[in-house]
Amino acid sequence: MTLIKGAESELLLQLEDNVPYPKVSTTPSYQRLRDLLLPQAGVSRDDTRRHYVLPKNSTTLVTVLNEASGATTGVEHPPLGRRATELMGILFSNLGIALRGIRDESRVVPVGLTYDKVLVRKEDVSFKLLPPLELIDVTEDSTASLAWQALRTTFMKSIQGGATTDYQRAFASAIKPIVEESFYER
Amino acid sequence: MSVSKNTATTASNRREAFAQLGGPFSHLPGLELGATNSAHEVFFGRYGKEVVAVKPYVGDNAPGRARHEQLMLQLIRAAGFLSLQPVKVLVGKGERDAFLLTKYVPNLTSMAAVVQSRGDAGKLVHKTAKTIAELHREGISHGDAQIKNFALFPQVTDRIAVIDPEKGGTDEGGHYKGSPYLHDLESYVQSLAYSGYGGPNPNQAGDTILQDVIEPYVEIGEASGVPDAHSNGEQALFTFLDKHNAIHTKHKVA
Repeated sequence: MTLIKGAESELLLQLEDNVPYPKVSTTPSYQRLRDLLLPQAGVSRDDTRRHYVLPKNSTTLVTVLNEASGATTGVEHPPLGRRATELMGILFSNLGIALRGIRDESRVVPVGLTYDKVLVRKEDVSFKLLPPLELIDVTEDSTASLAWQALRTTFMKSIQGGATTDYQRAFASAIKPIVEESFYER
Repeated sequence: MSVSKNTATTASNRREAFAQLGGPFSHLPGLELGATNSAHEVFFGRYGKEVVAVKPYVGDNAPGRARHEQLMLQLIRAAGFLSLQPVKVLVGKGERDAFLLTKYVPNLTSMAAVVQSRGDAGKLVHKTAKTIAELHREGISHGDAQIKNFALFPQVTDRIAVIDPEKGGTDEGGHYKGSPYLHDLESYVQSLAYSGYGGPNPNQAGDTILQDVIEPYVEIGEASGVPDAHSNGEQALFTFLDKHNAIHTKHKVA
């Protein structure tokens, strides 16, 4: 897992695993971002044992969340039960907090982050992101605000975007407000 | 003659500045047509596997402005509008130049050309006015909503594409202009006046703008809570008539 800053001429940062991580320029927040990302190649065998891709239907999601949180009994019914809602709230709140932290400390915001890039980690219901992840420099406050709005709008659209059946649409509608809450400024 | 020479020189300089960045770019001069009206001297090429349009920015805060447009395009697309797909922003040495790369759209037709040549221009002008109202409904201003900054994409018959939102803004992040929604609507009707849309007769032209622009804008704006939709519509109609009058008076004097 590596983090590279793009060529000097590029504003966008691209995360790829075939370029060595620049040790000298490591900062705590970049380190945090690195911690969020899985290797470029996607999910390794080891990762498969430790992470789930967030599914786009509620039954599978609830199963995943139950298993991720170590629960052995009880699968809630769609669209989402209390516990699944709570877990999703925690998951996406953490994502929102992490990305806001990176924005405020390192002045970069991910571009084009979508729902299917979020993986849930077993055991502690935390998350990882699938690379590549492009970052945009947001040194100016106005750009930071616009970038954040673009991030939130893109992410929200991606939840609804993949839904092709009524069942999936109901699921998307159920999780949308949870995610939206996590991405709004407080 | 000197103007075209300067323009060519500038365009050539920008291509050279871009070429100096290195990277997997090859110029595609065969795709030049269509960019001739671009104040930014847009050019086309292949970047890696992608065919792209390259929009150069020069001068103050060129990287910031390019980045701003990139984000605006992304936001506009994510909000459900048809627009260009940003690929990346590249910045020259010293940050005096920046280049916004977007995916090339073949056979894109500017709405400026549509109003000059197509029989169904009225319907498309109407649809563009609705698109502007819908942008405003989402809290987004275009910032330079002239007719030339809207386009038709091939094989997309039911939507108008929003392009060049480099001066755009949002309710959340701030707008470039005061009264941004009125500014958009006035830019739109003024550009239509310049294009001769509605004809030389002021009454006829006013009726046409009312029907094709003001009414659809106000209808959508009022229904969806766009601030001051009605009064902005009224103001824009007066602006159009003033501009129409000024243009045609000038022509008579000339």
